[in-house]
Amino acid sequence: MSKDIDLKELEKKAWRSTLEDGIFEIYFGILHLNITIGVILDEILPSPYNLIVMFSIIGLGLMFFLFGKKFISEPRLGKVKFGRTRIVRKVKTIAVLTVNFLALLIIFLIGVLNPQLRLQLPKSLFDLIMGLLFFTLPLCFIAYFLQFRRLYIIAILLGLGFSLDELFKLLPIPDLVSSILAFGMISVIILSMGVVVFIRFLKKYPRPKDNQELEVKDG
Amino acid sequence: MGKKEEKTNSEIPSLPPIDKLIHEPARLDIIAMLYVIKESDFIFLKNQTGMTWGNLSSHLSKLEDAGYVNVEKEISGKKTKTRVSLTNEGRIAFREYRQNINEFLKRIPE
Repeated sequence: MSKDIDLKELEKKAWRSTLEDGIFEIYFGILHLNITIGVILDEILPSPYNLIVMFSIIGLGLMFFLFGKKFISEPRLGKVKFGRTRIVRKVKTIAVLTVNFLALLIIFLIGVLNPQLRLQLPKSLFDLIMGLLFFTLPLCFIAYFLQFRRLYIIAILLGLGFSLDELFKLLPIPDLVSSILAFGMISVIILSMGVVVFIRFLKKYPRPKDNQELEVKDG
Repeated sequence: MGKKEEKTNSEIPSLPPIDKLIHEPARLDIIAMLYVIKESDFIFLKNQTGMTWGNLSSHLSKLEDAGYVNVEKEISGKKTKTRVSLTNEGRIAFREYRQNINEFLKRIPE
């Protein structure tokens, strides 16, 4: 044989190629940017207008994700259906996320029903623990089961958001600015990461001519 | 041929048959990729194997003729969408190929 073929690695490589477009990161970046924009909108727009704008941004993000996959990623990368391995991994992800959600719900309910059981911690530390539990942990499970390495970075960044906000409030700046800085910084990092991956993807996979495949078949 | 030579030949264990159609490196790449996924279009397969359109098309034709892959073409407007998947026969052939090549390599002395 000319080279060794590790079938598991081959499947993983094929799977990871579908995540090479950066669209998921950009989508997450837009969603997180929405938190930053929400902080600003709370100050300048009355309810429900601020909510309308925020939901519109979420809608735009979702549209970018769906249309981006369909009209940018798919024509360049091609379409693929994976086998049983991926289905099993998706089922495992859903199962673990369900258990994780139920565990967090129980912790939350215990905290609400018995406030004396709540840990007496500084606000920034409490926010850090909550961020790690509610954002980092579930996203790390997804990253692990979906074998999506960049999602670990996103998971950590999202988990840090609220505690970073508290830390910035220690600075001699208005609370609004500290929140914009904390959430904005994270949004920009995630968005930049996505845009870099996206540009790299566009360079690596140029769009084939519409009739290229037809020409080959026709000889 | 002498008796000695005949005896020597009979002592050599027969090597497992290697499917030459799959053994060709480019076709091996294609069939291995199709083995680990359920189905893909032509573009995905081209990107994963790094072959040219013509090369991939020609190898796929050979695999299709052997009954190892199923190629379905769909024309929508000016575009042709080609979906490729491994047939059961192809799956079995690739599994046998892997077993045989491993056996083959084991029997070759260092």
